[in-house]
Amino acid sequence: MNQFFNINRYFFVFILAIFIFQSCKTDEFKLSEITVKEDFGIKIITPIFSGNDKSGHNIEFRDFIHDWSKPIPDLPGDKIVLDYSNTEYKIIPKQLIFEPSLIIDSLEFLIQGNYSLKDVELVFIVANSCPFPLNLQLQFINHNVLGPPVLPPAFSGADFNQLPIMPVKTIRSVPLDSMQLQSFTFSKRLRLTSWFNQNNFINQNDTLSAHYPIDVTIVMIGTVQTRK
Amino acid sequence: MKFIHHKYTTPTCLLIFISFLLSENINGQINGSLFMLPNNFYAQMYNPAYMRTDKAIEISFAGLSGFSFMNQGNFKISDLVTTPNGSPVIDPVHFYENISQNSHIRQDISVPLAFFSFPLKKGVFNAYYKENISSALKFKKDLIDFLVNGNAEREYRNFSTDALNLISTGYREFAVGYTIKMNKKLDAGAYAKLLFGAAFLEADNWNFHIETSANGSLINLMADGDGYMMIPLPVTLRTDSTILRIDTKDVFSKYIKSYQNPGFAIDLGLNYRINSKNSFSASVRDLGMILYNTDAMTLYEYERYDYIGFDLVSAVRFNEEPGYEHPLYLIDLLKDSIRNVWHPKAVKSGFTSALATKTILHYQHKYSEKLSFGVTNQSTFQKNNFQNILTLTAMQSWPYFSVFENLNLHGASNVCVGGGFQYEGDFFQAFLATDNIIAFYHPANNKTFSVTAGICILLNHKTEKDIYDNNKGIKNRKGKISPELPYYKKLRELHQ
Repeated sequence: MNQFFNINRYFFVFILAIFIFQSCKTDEFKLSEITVKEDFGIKIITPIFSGNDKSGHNIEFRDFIHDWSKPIPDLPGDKIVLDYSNTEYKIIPKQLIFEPSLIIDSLEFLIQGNYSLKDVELVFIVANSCPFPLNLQLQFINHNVLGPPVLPPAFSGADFNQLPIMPVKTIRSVPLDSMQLQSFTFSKRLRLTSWFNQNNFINQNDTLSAHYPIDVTIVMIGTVQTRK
Repeated sequence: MKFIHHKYTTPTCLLIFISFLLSENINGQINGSLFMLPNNFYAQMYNPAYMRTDKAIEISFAGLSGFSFMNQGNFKISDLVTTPNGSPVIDPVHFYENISQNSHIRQDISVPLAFFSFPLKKGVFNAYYKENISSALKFKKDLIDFLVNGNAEREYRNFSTDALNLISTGYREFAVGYTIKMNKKLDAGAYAKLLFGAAFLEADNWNFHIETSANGSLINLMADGDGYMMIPLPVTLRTDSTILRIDTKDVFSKYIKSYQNPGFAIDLGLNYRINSKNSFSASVRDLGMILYNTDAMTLYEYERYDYIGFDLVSAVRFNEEPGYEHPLYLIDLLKDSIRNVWHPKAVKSGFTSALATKTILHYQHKYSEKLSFGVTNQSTFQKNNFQNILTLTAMQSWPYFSVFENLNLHGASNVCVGGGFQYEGDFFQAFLATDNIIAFYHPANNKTFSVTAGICILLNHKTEKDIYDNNKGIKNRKGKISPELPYYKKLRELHQ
């Protein structure tokens, strides 16, 4: 009987110790309670659009003039020849080059995921070989609602008075404001509008090459944070 | 890769696949102090030369037989999960600042579902059925670099995980063994084990790289590595051999019924009594392998993709000119190309996996009837990996009860204090042992934690008291001693 009490004493001490230890737990939590630290984010840089494809095709002057799948509008003013090659050409109103044109009307663009973005800036890197400064305007569409435009200043054109003609590389960084960021983050589609700024070159020439290369890259810099 | 989840199997899936997240080499070890107790049924499973000193029959089964769990790493959960405002949060920056260049975490769960031991001729026959799940992950600090630094700053434009190693396995073992008393000093024993691999995942030296160009207009994504996988679930492959989805329906049932990948292993052990106070024991376990043929796949990955963003040329010209792809197709192609870099390709083919061989060396000294000291060294060898646990034990014993305290050295740097007890009554044995008693109340702040516990039914068990009485051959005297001399003394007096 004494032994029985001895054993029970040990058990009692052991159970008591467990209770004390359990009550002292300082770091008990459930897996479901765990979140990622609020201010944690990964600052990344990534290309999002490129004007070069892997087959060696580049965006050219003609691509930023008009959506050629649609009819050429009959704009007032003089005409100019857009020369595609030795045998192909198009006669277009000069004004078409300088009017904003919907180049991409509605391209699927999904950037959503289990993350959010903050402090986003879009960096436009453009090497322009055209004689005119180029304007590029991005808009993001969510449920058919067009977001605020992202419009960097014009990208300088090449100087055709100096030979050889060299492309002019311009980098424009556009920090997105809250409305633009919301539109960018939650958009489902993209709209690209482009036009050129007019200068004297248009008056000095009757023919323009359709193939002036324009190297366009759009890079995103931003901080990625998890939503949960 | 997608997992098709089913309502009632999600927790089970998590249990199995969380183990797949964690791994390098497999422990399969119990607390070193248990080798102080040759009659402990877990010690008998881990050293085939251990047997009871009485003629008792030991029986244990699921529900009673307990488990052995070990978590061991060179970082603490609290390095990753902090509680700055009282709520637990994952803090990669804190984790990055507190881990060493080479990190690892290992987890090991063993659950004996049946154990049986009975005396047979000069020895003891043993048999058991045990489920094992083990996992180990070895990674370098570089793995966390990207999470903390990203790639926007110029000095962090390039990133590489360096060698990432993972091995996770789930298998069951059916063992039969015999322990024989060779002579007064030496006991020897062996187990022959039939194994069935139920799940396996190995990733060998996986490397994921990101190289970013100076202006961010080009990112080279690269991955290389190879490995093996076997899961008892339907795996659907894409045409490019990457894994499209894994159907986890009835995962637990399929895991338990997975007997198609057999293996074989042996355990050897000896227990040598140097003298009445000193003894030495040694065992080598898991000398064997499992052949994975059913549901087995070889994984490999040597992919590279130069990401330049979405192609505006096709988006602009697709409607105008022939020879350009539809933008939607290109988006899918882009997603697939990026995915293919990270997703390994799988080829259905069998493979063989050797078990991690373990050695146990134990020495104990009986200082007095109540006090013993012991030292146990447990090592695990697998490929180029080596893990060692040294345990120093002090044990106090009473007829029914033993209490032990231990000091454990995991590798060369991690020291923790543990303890436990064993109660052995007339009809059952119960024990609990841990290598880190602090971890009971502060688990997240400890690198290492193990607990082993179990209950075993004893039949035909003679208690220490019975044995003591039987050895004397007489019962304790209860009455007074007669003052009368024996008759032969009276005879001697008569002769005189």
